Amino acid sequence: MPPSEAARADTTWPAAYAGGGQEGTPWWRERRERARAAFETLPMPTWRRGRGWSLQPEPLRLEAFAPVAAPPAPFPEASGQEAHVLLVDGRLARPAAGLPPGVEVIPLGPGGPDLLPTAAADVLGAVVGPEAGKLEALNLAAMTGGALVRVARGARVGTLRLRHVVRTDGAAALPRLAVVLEEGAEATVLEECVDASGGGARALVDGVSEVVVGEGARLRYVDVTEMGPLAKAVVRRRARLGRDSRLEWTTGVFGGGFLALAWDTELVAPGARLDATGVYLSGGREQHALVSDTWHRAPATEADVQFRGAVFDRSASVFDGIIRTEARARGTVSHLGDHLLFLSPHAHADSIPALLIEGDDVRVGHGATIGRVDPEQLYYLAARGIDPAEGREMLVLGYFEPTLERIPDSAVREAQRASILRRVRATGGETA
Amino acid sequence: MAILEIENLSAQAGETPILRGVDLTVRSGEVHALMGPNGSGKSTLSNVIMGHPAYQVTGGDVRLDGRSILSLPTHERALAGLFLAFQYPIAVSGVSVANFIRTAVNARRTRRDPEDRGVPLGEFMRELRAQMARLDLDAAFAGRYLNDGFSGGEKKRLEMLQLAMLRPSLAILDEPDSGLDIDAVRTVASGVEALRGPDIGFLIITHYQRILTYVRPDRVHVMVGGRIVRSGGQELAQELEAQGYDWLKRETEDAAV
Repeated sequence: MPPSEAARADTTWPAAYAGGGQEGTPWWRERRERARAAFETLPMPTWRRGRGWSLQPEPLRLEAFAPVAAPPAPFPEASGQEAHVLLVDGRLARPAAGLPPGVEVIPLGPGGPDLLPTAAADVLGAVVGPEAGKLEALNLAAMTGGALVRVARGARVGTLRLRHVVRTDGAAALPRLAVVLEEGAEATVLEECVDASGGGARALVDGVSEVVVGEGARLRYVDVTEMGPLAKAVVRRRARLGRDSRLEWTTGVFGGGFLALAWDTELVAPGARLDATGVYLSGGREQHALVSDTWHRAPATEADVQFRGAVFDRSASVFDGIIRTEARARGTVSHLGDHLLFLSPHAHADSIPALLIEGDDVRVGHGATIGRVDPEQLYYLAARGIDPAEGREMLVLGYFEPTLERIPDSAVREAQRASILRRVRATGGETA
Repeated sequence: MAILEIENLSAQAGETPILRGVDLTVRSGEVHALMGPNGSGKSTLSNVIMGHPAYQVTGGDVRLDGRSILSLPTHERALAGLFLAFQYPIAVSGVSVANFIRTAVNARRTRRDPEDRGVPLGEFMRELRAQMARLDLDAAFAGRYLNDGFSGGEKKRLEMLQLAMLRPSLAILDEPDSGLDIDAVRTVASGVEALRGPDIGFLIITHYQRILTYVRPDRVHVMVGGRIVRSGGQELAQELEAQGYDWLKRETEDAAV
């Protein structure tokens, strides 16, 4: 192990991180204690991937951040856009509001109930346990707040909005969300992680989202990350798909000084299907490490994962796309596509696919493209009177379009288009 | 009334001289044909007029309505009234035909009136559909990505569609007939004829005389070795069709000795 990595592996428990809540639930207490022990032994992740180069994030010093002690002050929300669950700096800002019939929300962390239902033990700290990594263990042991969202059997509900807001300089937010769709339920979940500090907060988000899609259930899960240039976020989202269930996962990554985001899907029963669509943009000096891990653990499961990214300015991003099939997963059909657009000669990006296949009778594939804005395309647009800045916007949006078209919800699609445009306009005019 | 004046224009690509003193004037209301063998510099001329960054002008001038355009970027030349229909239009995935043309139409409107809010969608789509029908293009065409997976004929007709929607004062058509069957040539030619009038001038670049049987030019020019070596009326095109370009090449070479 290189010396720098060894030093970081020894990161000791940061004193300010305590967590709390649900103390009357023995299994939960035991899980959190186990997580704390795991934290002490697990190495700090380094995220230094890239072929021939590497991401250069500043070392993540946990002691430079601290969970916000006081409950958050009221947070203004735009009328009509109120979240059902609102977390500010990792803490629940208020009770869940406006829940449709068939949806139950159990608050987690300080202020939540002492006793958790037994069924929660199959989800909380179970889908993403402490063995997932040092920061996942930290989240479990020192969670600052969160919610368990349960959609009852057979219920069909519209969009549930779960919003994380970061606004305090130096805050460490350790939110944990769990979403459970019971048998035959249908729902759309929008999980947003946004910076409300005006971009100036040096905050840390160490987040975990655990998702369980029950038998025959159908979930549309949309997550959006739009953080400021000084924010750091390490988030693992993991979904477990039951028999004949379906998950349509849409991801938008539109900013954050350092982001290490992972989307894991375990297809644990026959007939489960995942359609994942991801869009990411890195600009300024941002460093993004993105992982998509699709794990086929049962026969006859299917997945189609498509990511499309663009890098601007002096940013760097690495996309690790992994498909795993277990020996028993006969009849797996799985495809991973990833595409990269370079918009600056100074940006670094890499896409590293991995297909880990055990057993046979599977159809697993990967396709990738890397491109730059074509000066001939810009010339063509200019020959029609479209100036280079607008032409560049058109070409970047056009590049993302085949991926955006996969997003089933038109409002989400339009929001992603707007976020891409905002990001393109915020970056320099240089092209690779 | 627009006037495009090309005066003693020389240009090169990298270190290779291509245009060697071109003189040509096109006014609105006129149709000029520029013919010549492959490699004579016809397409280069169109791209130099439009400001393609791969070419450097080494001498002479190009003026639109008396004002030199050589220092203007390409989009400014287009907004000033120039249009180039490309010989090989490039594909732009993810950008629909309708969105692209509407953006270009709005760029012109904003140039004329900075307060303009853009063409209303309904009005734009009605006009677009009408022009598409004239060019025998299916309505679904508007939603397809620009030139992406288009046949040769579809690409040429899309160029003509843009011409009809943008209404420039001077249009350069770079081999609008190449690679087309005779029916498609007729469609393209009728598109030009429909627009022909006192407010627009055409410079049609072509290798063959074929399209000129449907679009009768007022003047025909022949380019050889980066210069215009002969100008005349429609009969010059017929002469070239009958005899080819070799005699003109020989004359040019003899004159150079």
